[in-house]
Amino acid sequence: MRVLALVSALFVGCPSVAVSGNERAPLRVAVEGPMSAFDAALLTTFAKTRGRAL
Amino acid sequence: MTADLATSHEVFPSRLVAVTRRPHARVAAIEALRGSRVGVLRSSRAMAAVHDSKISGAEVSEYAGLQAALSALRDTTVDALLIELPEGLLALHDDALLELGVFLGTRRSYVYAVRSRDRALLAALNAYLQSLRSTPSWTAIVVRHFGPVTFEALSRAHLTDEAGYY
Repeated sequence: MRVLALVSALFVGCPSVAVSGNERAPLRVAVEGPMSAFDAALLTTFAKTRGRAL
Repeated sequence: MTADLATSHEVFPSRLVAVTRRPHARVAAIEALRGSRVGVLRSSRAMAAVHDSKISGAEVSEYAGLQAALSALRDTTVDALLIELPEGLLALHDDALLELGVFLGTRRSYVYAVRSRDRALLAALNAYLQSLRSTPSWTAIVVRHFGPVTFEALSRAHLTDEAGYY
């Protein structure tokens, strides 16, 4: 599976967020540590705008 | 984070903020941190900020994570925490006794990073962020997640322009 690797950055200690997917498989969000609800809301909507289910 | 990552447009701005918990007095000025016990997050820029701001006599303790630092503030092991504004806002959400005080350090941007070779993804992400932040719903999203004092705090930290946008 091609990993798109979307991660939250800058703040040390900020949880990493990996978004994986390819043309046939649905986009998948994997979180290392607790992702903030803010990031979850933004990234979930972003995934939907790309026409892919989480 | 390595060099094979490219970053998005800003998602959220930040400066370091001094957080106290009542009944401790709010830290309204940098001078009030002198000689006090200050908690910072390990590997954060707060330790350097204490040095750069010439906060003499401060006893600085490092914590591995935000929850450990907040616990130290609650049990009065430290007088104040020096953490990034988004972390302070989220902490305020959960503990009404916390107060945001003086801001330190330069503006930093909270961003998302993508692999450098994923240029299409980065372009899509930037377009999405730009579009989202230009809508009224952006304000609602920010207030819902960071609390009603968010924009007042951003203004006080000089992270907004004259129109109130950041």
